[in-house]
Amino acid sequence: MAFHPSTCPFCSCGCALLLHEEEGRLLGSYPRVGADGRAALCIRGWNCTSSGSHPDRLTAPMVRGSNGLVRVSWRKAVEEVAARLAGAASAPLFAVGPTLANEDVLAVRRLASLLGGRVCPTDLSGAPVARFALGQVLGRGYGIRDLETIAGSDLIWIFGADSDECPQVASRVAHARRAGGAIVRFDVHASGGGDGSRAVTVPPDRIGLLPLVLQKAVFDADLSAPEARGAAGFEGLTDRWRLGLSPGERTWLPDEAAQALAREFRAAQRPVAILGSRWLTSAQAEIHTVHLLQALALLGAADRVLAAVGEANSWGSLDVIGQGTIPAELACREDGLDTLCVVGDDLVRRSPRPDTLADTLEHLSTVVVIDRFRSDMWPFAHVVLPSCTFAEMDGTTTNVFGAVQRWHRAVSPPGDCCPERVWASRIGRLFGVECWPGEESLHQSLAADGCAAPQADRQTHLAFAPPADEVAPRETGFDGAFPMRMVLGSHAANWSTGAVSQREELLRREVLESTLSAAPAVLEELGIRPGSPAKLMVPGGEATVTVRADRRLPSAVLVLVPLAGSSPERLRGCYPGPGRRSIGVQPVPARLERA
Amino acid sequence: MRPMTIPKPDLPAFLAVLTGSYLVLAPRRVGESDVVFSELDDDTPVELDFVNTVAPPKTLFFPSRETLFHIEGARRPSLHLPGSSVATGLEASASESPVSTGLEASASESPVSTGLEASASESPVSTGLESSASESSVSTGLQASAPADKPLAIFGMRSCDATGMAFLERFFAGRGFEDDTILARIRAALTMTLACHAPGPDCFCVCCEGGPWLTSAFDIQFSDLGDRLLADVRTAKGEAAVGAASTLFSPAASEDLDAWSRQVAKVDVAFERRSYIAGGTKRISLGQIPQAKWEEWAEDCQDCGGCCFVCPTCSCFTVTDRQTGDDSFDRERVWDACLYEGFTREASGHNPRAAKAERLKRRFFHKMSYQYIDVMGRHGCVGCGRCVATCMGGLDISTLLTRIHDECH
Repeated sequence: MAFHPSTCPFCSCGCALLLHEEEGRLLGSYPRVGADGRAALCIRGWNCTSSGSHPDRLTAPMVRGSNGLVRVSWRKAVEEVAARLAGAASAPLFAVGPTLANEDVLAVRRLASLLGGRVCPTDLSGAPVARFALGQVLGRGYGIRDLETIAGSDLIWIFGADSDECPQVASRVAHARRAGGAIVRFDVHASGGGDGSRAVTVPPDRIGLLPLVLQKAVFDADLSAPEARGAAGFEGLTDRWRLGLSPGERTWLPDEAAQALAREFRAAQRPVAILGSRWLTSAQAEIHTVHLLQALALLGAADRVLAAVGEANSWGSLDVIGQGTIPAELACREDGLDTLCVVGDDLVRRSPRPDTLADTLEHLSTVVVIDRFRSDMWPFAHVVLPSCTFAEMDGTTTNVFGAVQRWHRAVSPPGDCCPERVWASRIGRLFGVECWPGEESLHQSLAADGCAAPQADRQTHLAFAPPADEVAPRETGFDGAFPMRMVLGSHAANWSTGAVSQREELLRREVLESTLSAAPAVLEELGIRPGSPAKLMVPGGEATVTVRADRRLPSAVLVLVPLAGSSPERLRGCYPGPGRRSIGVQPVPARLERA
Repeated sequence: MRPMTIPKPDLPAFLAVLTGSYLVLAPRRVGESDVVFSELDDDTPVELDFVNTVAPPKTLFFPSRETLFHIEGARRPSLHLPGSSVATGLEASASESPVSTGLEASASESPVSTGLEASASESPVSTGLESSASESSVSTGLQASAPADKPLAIFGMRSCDATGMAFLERFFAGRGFEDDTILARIRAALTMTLACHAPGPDCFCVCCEGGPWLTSAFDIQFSDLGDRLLADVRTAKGEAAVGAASTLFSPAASEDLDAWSRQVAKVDVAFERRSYIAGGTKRISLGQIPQAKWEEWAEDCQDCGGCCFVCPTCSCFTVTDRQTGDDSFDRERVWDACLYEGFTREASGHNPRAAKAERLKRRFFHKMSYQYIDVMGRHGCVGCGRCVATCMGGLDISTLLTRIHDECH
């Protein structure tokens, strides 16, 4: 029996934990005092230990033959991969998931570099959006340094987050509220009141206008912070508003109300802004988030932002991959791609357009999958290599605060499973190159490869260079076929865990099915009883989903909480056209009918 | 037995003597801040200066996940006890001798049973697979998983945790059903508590009859007197353990007992955290807390279940089948939490406590009401303070009782 220190693999908070192991089997997890001095886990952390023995766990390498995938020795599988890579018609694309350890991402990057290929993250939105915007405005990839900054705040602005989305963040918000702090929620539904917060209800199609309204309020009321006035690009930003740009008339946040909010924020001693998943996955989120951070910078608080999203190593893997890469989803759809290696993720399950992605994958000469579990990538894979879960290897991850943390090996991996760095090394050796020497520290390795080291300690360089794109969002309007807007909601127990786990039993039991929330008046009008199934339709398809009544919702807004892999999840939406920087998956025009 | 003392440097030798008869566990440090119970080795010393272990000792007797039995084959199931590669294997296990501590005194007074003998004949357990497995008569006595090779000897258990173990023993032994497996583990163990000489910031055992010193629920109670430990030996099992290392112990001198008395007086007033147990118990029992208050407090609950998992007295579990192969399963007992939404969901889908406020109210009723004190002999909190540390929402026993006191006049 032993207790092994480790880090929770389920989100970018990276809570410290102890793994209880007995006779080579994980029995449970317990909170450990982390960097913030607290020892607490959310429902995911308390239930993180059973993924290693899941029935869908991959334990042996497989190579596709005439009868499908068949088990082979690791040596034969590696030789097959090397032969395919050597004979590929184009440079390979490596799609890297957000739950890999930094060391594994680096080894894959080295292998890609050796082969003249490139590495792209599988993350579509969320952390990549936040990092891009933080980099544009602050010159660094991380915002606030710890959760206790939230607990100690006297004013918190929350943009597009469900209250139970991240329990660690929610608990700090509640702590601040109990201590007298004010909470303002900017969202598509009016959630104020119940927990003492105030709400600014933004129409789903106008989410992107909100930052511009706040910017305008800062200039109208002359509230800009001294440090903002001295920053690069400030004059240009000022000119934008001097030239009379107008976000138009608004009933949902008139100029006077916006100025009052800005005044309150500017007057606060310890303000904080939290960007939730609904914000960071909304259409045009990248542009909107840059604009929002500009507004917060004008108010003197661009570095007091928490982007409360991300998987275990969303932030660290982006550090290692480097800036400027497009999501693998888009790279896969580029012409000329012939060879794809998907490492630690399920591109099909993650894709908002799985059917068209499947078409693309079917036509590739080579698809190599390195993963821990059987996934929807399975039918397309020519070679499958099994990898390790967090408890079966040593490694580091970088959390949303920029802290590098450790996974320690607590149990042995089953079968032929080994870390991605080992697979990369084995493949690299057949090309005469060592991708993971093993004795280097991560930071030395990153420096040797010219990667950005974790940027938390970098100096902030505030800048207001506006992105060269449209300023105001386009209002799509409502039409008769799809008169409503669907946005995504989340629940901690049903939160994306990537390929770390295929759901622990207790988590599965907590959230049994996908649900759709709608205003009670809408349900009554449509004759739909809460708790019964209804048909949800979007331009890309339809699904049947159980409906709940939510008094907070305006009549035109539906909030879908989809179970991973369910048919409702496939209705999340669609990408903007190719070539756009912004990756958005919502809001989606929608229609609701009785099933 | 009169009180004894043992020099601190001799403690490892004493524990080493016990390893002949017991699997000896002691508090050891993992990293800088965390202390856990683990087996002795030469690398990490036994920790004497700590507030409490991260995990409650219940995990040693009632693990958070435990395989009850293994089911192999959909058409022709065979059953395996954990650790056994032979089908059923029950007869062999049942015929093996009861676990002995090896210490005659205790072995003669409290023989440890695996429970297999009685259960094999008295309580057939169904796997639910009989209809598809007519060829196989499913065997019996499955609730008894394979007994450990040796019983546990736990040094350094805090008073609150020993009180919690006594509570659990009553739970698993009482009310018309006995869990032989867990009871055998608890009753075979040698419990060596380490009384607290300085409370931690979250501790409130002094309000809960959980410490800092005990008068029962231990075999040997050690108290730190600086360069030596005072040993209060209360059971024959404890006497046998001390007797097996008699050269290391000396009878306590009067100055040892004086030092202990001074320490008791000092520690009793050192607690910074107090809890309004009596008032909270009365209001909870009599339903004097407005529903709106429960709903308001429930807003702060993050549904993590941590308060239940770290609690030394919480005993709720669920039973699940975990697939281990194409047609094989492990039936497992897994800790559950009454604050999880799925905890009381019924097969029909109806959930009598779907609302978080109802679950929170139920938890506190279960922990603190007169009704449960009547059943369990005491309330369900021993004041260890683990829930204070782990609850993100300020809904731990101590804080919520204070909120009840402050907000529910």
